[in-house]
Amino acid sequence: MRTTEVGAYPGPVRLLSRAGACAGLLALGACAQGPAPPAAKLWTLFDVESLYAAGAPPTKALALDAGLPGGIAIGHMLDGAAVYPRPAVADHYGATYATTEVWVGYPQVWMQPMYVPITGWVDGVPQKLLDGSGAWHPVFSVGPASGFYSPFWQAVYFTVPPGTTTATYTTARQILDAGFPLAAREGWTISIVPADVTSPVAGPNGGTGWLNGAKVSFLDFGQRLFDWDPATNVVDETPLFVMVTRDANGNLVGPYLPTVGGTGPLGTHAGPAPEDGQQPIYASYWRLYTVEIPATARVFTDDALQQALDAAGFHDLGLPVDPGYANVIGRVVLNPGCTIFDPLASGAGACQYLDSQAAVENDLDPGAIQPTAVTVTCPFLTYQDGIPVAPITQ
Amino acid sequence: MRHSRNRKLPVGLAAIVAVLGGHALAQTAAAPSAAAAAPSPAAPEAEQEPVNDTDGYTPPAEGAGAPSALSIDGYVDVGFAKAQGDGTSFAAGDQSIPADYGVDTFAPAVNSRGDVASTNPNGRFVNGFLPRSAGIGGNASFLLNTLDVDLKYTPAAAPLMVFSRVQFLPRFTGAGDDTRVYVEQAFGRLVPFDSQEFAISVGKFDSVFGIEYLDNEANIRTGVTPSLVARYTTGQSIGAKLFYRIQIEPLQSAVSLNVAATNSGNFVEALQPPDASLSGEPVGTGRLGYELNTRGIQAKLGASGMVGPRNDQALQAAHQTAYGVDARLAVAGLYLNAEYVHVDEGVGGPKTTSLGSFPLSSAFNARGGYVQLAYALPFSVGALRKLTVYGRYDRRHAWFEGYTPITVDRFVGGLRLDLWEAIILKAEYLDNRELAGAPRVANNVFTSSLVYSW
Repeated sequence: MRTTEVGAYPGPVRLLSRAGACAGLLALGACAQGPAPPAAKLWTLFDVESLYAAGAPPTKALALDAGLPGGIAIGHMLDGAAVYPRPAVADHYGATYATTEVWVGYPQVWMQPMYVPITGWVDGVPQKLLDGSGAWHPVFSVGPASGFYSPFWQAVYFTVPPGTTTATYTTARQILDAGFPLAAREGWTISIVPADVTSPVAGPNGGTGWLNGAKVSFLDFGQRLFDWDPATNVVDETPLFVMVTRDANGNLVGPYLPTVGGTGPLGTHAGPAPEDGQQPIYASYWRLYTVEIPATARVFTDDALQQALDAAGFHDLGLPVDPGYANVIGRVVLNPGCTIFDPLASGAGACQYLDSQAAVENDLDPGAIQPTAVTVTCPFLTYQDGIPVAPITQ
Repeated sequence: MRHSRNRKLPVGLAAIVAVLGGHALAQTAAAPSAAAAAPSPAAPEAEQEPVNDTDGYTPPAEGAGAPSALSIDGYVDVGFAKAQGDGTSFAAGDQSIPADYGVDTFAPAVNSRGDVASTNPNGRFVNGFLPRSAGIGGNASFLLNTLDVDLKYTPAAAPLMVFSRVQFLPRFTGAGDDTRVYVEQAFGRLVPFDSQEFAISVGKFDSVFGIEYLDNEANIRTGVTPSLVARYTTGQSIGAKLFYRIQIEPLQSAVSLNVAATNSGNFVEALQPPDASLSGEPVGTGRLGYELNTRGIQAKLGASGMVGPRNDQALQAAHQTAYGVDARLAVAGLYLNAEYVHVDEGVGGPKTTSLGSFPLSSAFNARGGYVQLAYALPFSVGALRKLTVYGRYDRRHAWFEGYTPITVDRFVGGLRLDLWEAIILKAEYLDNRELAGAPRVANNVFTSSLVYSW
């Protein structure tokens, strides 16, 4: 039988001293270190449904401790089974958007490939392979359980032979292994959602696609809602401004006011959004920035909003508005003594609102605008005081 | 369909044997004869097995070959390899991100360290599930895999051994040549009781999990490349280790226990940095082993476990657990090694590996193992001392949370020649297959290794 090195040493060393040395050597405790950075976290509507199913109330907040006072209430993502139309303003008009994903601690989010079978190209337009009901069924490459999931997809078209059905190719591996020529084109915002999730506003197209051979449901918000770095596929951020103020103790708090949608990168004082026909195109991927309301500013209120501000201890922040201008309820006005309430008005007496990126960046000290660690998917549902957004599909 | 695979092993093998064999002969006169300190697990004689067994490889401490308290040993591993395709496992046309989540980036290995031919993702984002790269892409290339220098000091007046292993690793990085100096091991081992097989090691030392770590070094490993699960079990780390073995003479048996508390557990350094604890909490590992040593048969069985925070991030709550079983059987020149590993990692914070920083440490799971069969024929014909033929089958099933699970396997076949006592020539072919989940890619490898020991 083989012997080992242990026990082979001659040694007049006393056992006690050896034991002491051993104890010293073994005293390798865990060293205390500074606090660990928070784990990056992604919440999807699957997570929100799970929270509801576990008994969480609609006021349950996500993304706490990420620089966003109060976080994001799950009731502001899903209202029952419908995405919640969160009030906002953009380019001086009222708008609403859905919140389908929330990221915390992600410095960036990547676009992923979405494989789309087509029958061919007509004048440069891909002809999607449709089923009997006229629906397309894209093949997604990453599922919402992954930390790298995002609803920002690059359509990768591949032309299928005759006889192919929408159920023939259901995994990315099948498509890559088949060796089809692949044509990577435009970006789509399509959230994979629980099957029962709907939109309360006409526009987003529900449908089903494939993920690893299984059917998944989605809400399709259309093309052209984001740009990306072609070298890295990192999705560009657009600022979404969240109005905050300070409580009696000096802490920042976030009264529930309309957010302000930006139209360009932070600091660009960007003007009106680009348009598709008559419809403005607002981004779908946003980083939240807090905007501290100046002490001299006020918020136009109706009775309900004033009561909410009163309950939160911000009675003086509210300023009742002329009932004829309900569209400015919730907006921050920098000159509360103004007499012309129309958001599009200008000149003497006109109210000066924080109702666009340009207004926020032009009229406030840059120090009042602070980034959070929160980014969101928030495709617009309505624009210009209630017009439903029609997803761009071509 | 795997019609694109190149299966020219015999031709390539013959070529490399011809090329490297001539070079080896030219070096013979200068080669020292101390290579007996680097025995192979496939060696036909039982007494030539690694003397430390599950206590990690170290040279013998004393005996006829240990004339002084300080000894300097080492080896040079020169390789020649050619991988198919671009040397990676990334599929053309696949744009999913991270690029390293949907394929097995460790598959096209070219040397005993597990370095692969390439990890170049061509601009796609990767998230740190990567091996080290030899930087040769799909080109046939000579490599200096490792220049290894071992120092061992055994003072006569103390039951102590101090051992260090420093390695020089010249690589082409894509931006030029770079030689990394790597302290793979540096530890002291204390034997507090003369009457017991009980040792305490403190420092940076070998894994205690499973058995494949015993083959880490090129001058020890039967073949050239590690298995597909070696990344989880063969890494060195810093901490403290206890080894205890009790002999049961009437049964010609022994039972051993090897436990360690380290910074990073058993993952290779490319996946988890061993040189600091990122969470502040150690990782516990251990192996319970049984040995049967008769004149005709040697059998060794073991069960291993690991638990603790994953050391590629800082959150203590992000745990990694692993367990495995292993077996070795040696009879009549036939050597069978087999191991199964089960790994689970929880989601953690921002990731840091020895290769860099990455945004996320995703939850991850892997199950896999290998079976290796080797047959060693002793020779005494000219320079040839031993000829070993071997084959290995690896299989790995793994998935990152939310990603398609991938299943890959690998057939390895190879030949090893031991020349004199100082030179080992090995050549093998790796047939990598993507069975499920991952797109099929041409990533088979022919690789070889010429190891000079001193």
